[in-house]
Formats: sequence, C-alpha cells, structure tokens
Amino acid sequence: MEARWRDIDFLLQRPGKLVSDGFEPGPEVCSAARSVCLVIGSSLSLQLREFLRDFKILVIGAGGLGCEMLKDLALSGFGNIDVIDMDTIDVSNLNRQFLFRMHDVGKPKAQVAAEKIMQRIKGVTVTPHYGRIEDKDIEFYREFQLIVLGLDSLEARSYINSIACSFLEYNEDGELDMSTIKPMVDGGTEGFKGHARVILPGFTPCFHCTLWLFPPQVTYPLCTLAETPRSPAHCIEYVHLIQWGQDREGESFNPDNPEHMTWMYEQALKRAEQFNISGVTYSLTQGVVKNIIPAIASTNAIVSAICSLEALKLATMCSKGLDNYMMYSGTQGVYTHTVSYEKDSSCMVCSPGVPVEVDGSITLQEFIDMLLLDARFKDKLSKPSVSFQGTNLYMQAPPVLEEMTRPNLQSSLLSLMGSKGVLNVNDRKLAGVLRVQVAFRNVATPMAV
Amino acid sequence: MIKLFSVKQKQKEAADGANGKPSAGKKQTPGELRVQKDISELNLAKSTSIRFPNGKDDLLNFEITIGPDEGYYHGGLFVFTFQVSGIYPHEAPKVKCKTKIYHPNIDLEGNVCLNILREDWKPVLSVNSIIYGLQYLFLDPNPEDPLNQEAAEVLRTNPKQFETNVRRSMQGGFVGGHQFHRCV
Repeated sequence: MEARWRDIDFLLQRPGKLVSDGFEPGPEVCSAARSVCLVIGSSLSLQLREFLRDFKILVIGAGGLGCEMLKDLALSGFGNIDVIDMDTIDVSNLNRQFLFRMHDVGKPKAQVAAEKIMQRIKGVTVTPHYGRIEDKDIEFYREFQLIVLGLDSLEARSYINSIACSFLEYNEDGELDMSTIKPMVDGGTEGFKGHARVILPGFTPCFHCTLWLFPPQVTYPLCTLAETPRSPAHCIEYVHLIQWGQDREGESFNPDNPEHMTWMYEQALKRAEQFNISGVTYSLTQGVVKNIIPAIASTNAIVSAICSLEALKLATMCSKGLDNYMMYSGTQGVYTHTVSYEKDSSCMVCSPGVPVEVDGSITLQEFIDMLLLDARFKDKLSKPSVSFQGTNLYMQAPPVLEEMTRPNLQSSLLSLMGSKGVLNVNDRKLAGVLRVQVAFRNVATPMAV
Repeated sequence: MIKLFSVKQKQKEAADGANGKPSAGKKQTPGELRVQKDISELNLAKSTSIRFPNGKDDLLNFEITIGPDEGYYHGGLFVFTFQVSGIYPHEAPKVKCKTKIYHPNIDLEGNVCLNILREDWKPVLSVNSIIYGLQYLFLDPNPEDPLNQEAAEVLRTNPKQFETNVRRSMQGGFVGGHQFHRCV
C-alpha cells in the first residue's frame, strides 16, 4: 500500500460510528482475521480512490483560496480537477498564493496553478480555464459532480448559485429529483476571518436563501466626502467617486492601471493635506478603491482545508458532513462556530415553485385569469405580472410597460415559453416573487409531412 | 448529509444531459426579479414618468423624469438614470441626474447626495422610496452638507437670489460661470 495514501485510507477504509449513511467501505468486514480485513479494506479503499481519481470537480478561483484548494483536493485523491480564474498574477499575491513565483507575474493564474499542481503531485490532471465564469456556457457547469468556490464577491457567488440551482428538477408531486442536485462547497476569507459552507440546492439553504447574512458595504455620504472629510478613506473616495469624473471626463477608471492608481493616490494626498488629514498611502488608496482587505495565508489554509474535507466527504460519505455553515475567526486565537441554517421555502432561486398544469393551447390572458381563480393563490394575487427567463411576458404597470407587453396576452403561453418551465409572478400582494412551475398537456405533436 | 454519488455506478452525467431535459435558458438574477416587483408597484405621480431605453426586457437600466409642480424647481423637467445591480436590493441602485441642474445637493456631474442612496440604504427600501427621496430634494433643497457649495451658499444667505438663479438655469442661462440647458 502506498504510504502516500495512508491517511486518506484511514478515512476510506473502515466503517465506524462517524460515517454517513450509505458509506461504502464494502461488504461486512469480517472480524475473523485482521489480515483478511486489511486486504479487503485496502482493495475497497482502492476502489474509492479510483472513484476519486475520475471524479469531476471544478474549483472556481485560483487565488488565495484556490491555490490552497487545488493542493488539498489533489493530495486527497481527486484526480480530475478543472480550475477557472479570470485574473493574472500580481506581485501582491505572492505572500500566500504559493503556486506562483516572481517570474510568473503577469501570467494567467489558472494556467500557472494547473501546471504547478501537476508538476508537484503525481496522478492528477488539472485543466485550466482562463476567463470569466459568466462566459462559460451552462452546459460546462453541468458536467461537474461538485463545484468548490474560492470567490471574492457576492455577485460571482450569486451567479454560480443560480446556475447550480437551475439544474434542480422537481416532479409533478413537487419532489426533488436527487440526481439533479449540483452540490457546492463555498469558502470565503477576509483578514483573520472566514467561512466554509456546504450547499446542497434543494436541501440546505442556497446562497440566496441566506443573502441577509452579509452586512451591507460601508459607504460614505457624498456630502461628507465633498465638504467635511475626516479620514484618509474619505479623501480617497472623494477622488475616486467625484474628482475622477470631473478632471478626467470620459475616461473610465481602471484600478489595475498603475497610472490611474498613482493619479488617484496623488490627488487624494493633496486633498488630505488641504484638510490636514494624515494617513493617505498608496496601498491604502488601492485598498479603498478596490475594497481590499489584507489577506493572511493561514486563514486561507484553514478555510480551504475545511472545504476540501467537505468535498471528500460529499464524494465518499466517509464521515458526517458539515451542516451547513461554519464560521472561523482567528483574531483572538482559533475559534469556529457551526450553524445549521434553514432553507427559505419561498426562495426565488432554489424553491420548486407551485406546480400548475395547463392545456397546450391556453393564452397568456387565460393563464392569468386561471391563476386568479386558483384556490392556492387566494388572497395572494390581485394584478399579477408574469415573466419568463428574463423576458417580461406581461407587466401590469407602469403604463408604458403595460402597453408594450399587452400584445402578448393573446399569444399562446406555450409559444411564449417554448417548453415547460418556471414562470416568475410578481404582485403587489406578494412579499416576494412567486415561482410557478408550468407543465403543458395535450401538446399537439408536429405532423410528419 | 445525503448520499449523492455511488462508487458502484459511475454517474453518466453526459447521458443525462442529452435526455431532453429543458435547458435552463437565460439567467434572471434575483436583482432583476426584485426590481421587476418594484417597478410593477411604482406609485408615480402625474408629474413623474419612467422610460426604458433598452426595451421592455431590460429593467435594470431605466430613466425617471421628475417634474416638480411646486417650489423653486416647479415647471422644470429633470431626468435621473437608474442602474440596478444583480444583487439588488442588497446594494442600492446607482442614480445620477442627467439634466444639468443648479442645486445644493446635486453637483454639475450629476452626482446626487441622498442618504438612502448610500449610507442609509436598506434592502427593505425600493425604487419608490428613492423617487420620493428625489422629489423631496426638489421641494426642500438642503444647504447643510452640500455637493454644490456655491448653490448652497446662495440658498443660505440669499434665498431670493437662489430662486432667480434656479429660474435662470432652468431657462438655459448662465449661472455662477456655468452654462445650463433649458429644461422647462
């Protein structure tokens, strides 16, 4: 048995009290001869290790968390890893993104990370993708069995979350088809703090269910910036938000352009001197403008370790999984706290939607009338507006939109939707969006001519 | 924790994809859905109108025109552009005034100093709340904490002159060394 896999085999080889239901170390391990058990154990852990080697996993982000996760996953036995990142390597990354060196500065992170991992760890294939997550087709994401996130923004997480949740399929009884679950493990870090969470769309809360967890960004009143700045950040934000537009009209500010950043720093310094404020530095300017918080290698290592372990558990069921959100704080020692958040049953991203079956010939107007008469929506609808995948089918207000969408009322719903799917219904009486799963019966099959 | 994968049967995900499952189509972000709700519930006064420069399917970018019917700015028409993000209402929409205006709380680039657009934004607020806030700016310009210092100074020390300046700017004249465009 390769010494390399010794630690992983401890997890994969034996059943025990901490494993999850469905863990398959194999048939009953007989207690007769320890050597027999060890032989069975090792051949079965071999099976699990083979399974891991072919397991298709996607790592999003090859930065602070991404580098650590690639290392952890590859060393845990995952042999088929894809990594996507839109950034190139910068000098400031080198304190923690250990796959990169000085001579790599300027190269795409995904490519260099993939190369280094494959050089250093035998038996793993890492496929890099240099580009934005939004530029990948949804079919790209469908191929993966597990997605691990090392992202740095709410928008990116929201985007991947809606993609993963869009794979969910429910049958006519509203039951979830388990094979459509696209599990995700999401990690995030900020200075000494971080989190790791497991998202099983349809089961655990998705990212949107718990969006309220994130505190709003710190913003300063524009008038304070303009008239009464008191801190170096105020001076920097003034130049960033107001002075740039005035002095460099038409030019869009690019934070990665050193000339832009230097100009921003010099102007902020001048302004600070005007108001007798000290503390404006080039790195503070970068921090405020790009919303950067200094990153610490150990935080990334810890959060990544938690995430990779969860990925291993999800793939092999070798232990009880994280349920479902762990917070880490290293400001005063090492502290973690795990919470089991609940799914929002009316979440506009991951909830199934109320099933409605209609005739293939129904018009949009007839559909809306039908909704208003449906007992399930009694008192919840008054003047519903309906949209489908980004197209507004009918908007009740304001008058200009009502006019533009009125012609759709006479069209057949099936022709507007193309196939069965989920409609979004908005109404003044509803607190949020109502998702309606529409299925069509009596759909005329095209005649072969 | 639920068992999603089995060692014994390799998942044939590629095959699943070809089974005629409906493709997920265009993504609609939660921000779009929420702004759709806000827009369908807009309570626009007679003097306020909305326009969608990118058509009925892009609700993230629209223009609101406010025509105050009392106060210093009555008779004028002022256009505000709204840019809503994908994570609305977690983030406030970005609002700028497209019409060049002589106002203590709106600068000549169109930046608007309104608390609920920045530090006092809460997800429970909506496009309607912002429109009320903007209308209030016209009825009650605030010379304390201004964006346009000169305008604020004049309002503070000489309201009659302020009124004259506003009228002149709305008619497309020169005020304080700046050329305005007619908007009555």
